[in-house]
Amino acid sequence: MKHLSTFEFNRLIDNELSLQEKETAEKHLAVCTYCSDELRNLKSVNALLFEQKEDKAPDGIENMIMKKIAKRMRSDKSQKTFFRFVVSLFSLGIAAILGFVGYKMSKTVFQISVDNEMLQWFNHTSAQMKSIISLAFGEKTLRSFEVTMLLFFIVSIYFLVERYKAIRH
Amino acid sequence: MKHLSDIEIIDSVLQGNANDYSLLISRYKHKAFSLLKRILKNEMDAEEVLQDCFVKAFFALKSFKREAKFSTWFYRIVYNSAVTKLSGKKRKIEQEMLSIDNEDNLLTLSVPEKELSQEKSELLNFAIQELPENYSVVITLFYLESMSCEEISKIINTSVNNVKVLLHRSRTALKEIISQKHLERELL
Repeated sequence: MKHLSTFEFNRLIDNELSLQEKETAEKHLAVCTYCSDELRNLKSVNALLFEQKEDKAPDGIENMIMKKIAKRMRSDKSQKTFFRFVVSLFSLGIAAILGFVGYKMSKTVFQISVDNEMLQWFNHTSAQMKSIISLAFGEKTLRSFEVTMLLFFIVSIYFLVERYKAIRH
Repeated sequence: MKHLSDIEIIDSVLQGNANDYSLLISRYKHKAFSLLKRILKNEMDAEEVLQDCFVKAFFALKSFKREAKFSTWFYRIVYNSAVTKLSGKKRKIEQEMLSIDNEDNLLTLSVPEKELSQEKSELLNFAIQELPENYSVVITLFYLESMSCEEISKIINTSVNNVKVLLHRSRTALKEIISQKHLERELL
């Protein structure tokens, strides 16, 4: 006599057997004590599993989770703020350098005797720039360009210092 | 607020009411904890991973596509986190085992005498803990979370037929464990 397989037992429990298969299985179960015992045990396990209770999560876990979330949100926010600070610091630094270079160029202070090719080129270019501005817009415009660049430099330095203080804070 | 659906709570959280997330936590904490405890077989690990899962899910809420149920999406996070934790733990145990001569003693599991006198549900939990992780996952999701085989297949990323096979095997394995531990009288 061929006993029912584990697969057939489980399909019987889950009501997945076709009518014909079910009929054959029932006929066998009626005469086979081994299989009817097996089925009864499996049905008991199935019923037992439906009775199982869930484990209780520890008390106060909600608060702990919400605290973790709040902490991470704060850290994400401060990271973003820090990044913004660094970017603005960098851009202000560039602005300050441009302001300084612009001011110096308009003043042509760098016209000192040097062998360095770069500085010679700088001297030459700033002198040319000064003469172009002076010729095109007059001496007054040149003065106002100088003043604008100086102001630009001072304002950039001021904000740069403020940003630095904010980051340190 | 308690009668809100998962989707309504998620919408509220995404609109900036982060505190509403605690409603989802209280809705799923016990079930997710049960699942984690059965996979990890350790209460402290389960608690730690549970917290991480909820935090992870909170920050991933924007990416939650409403095609599937929130529970399916969330249990997927839980299952994957548990598997990751478990693989790390197994690696650690393997390393520790190499330095210990008497290996057999560590892996031998026996029913402590006092547990036989404990409640039926505790005995059942004990028997389930003896099952391999994939069996206890399927059993927990199917019986405790009342999930269909289709839903379970999405969570553990396998076919529906495979879930059915796992379910059949886990029932049979549980029956064997109950019989091996002589718990038939108490449980069956």
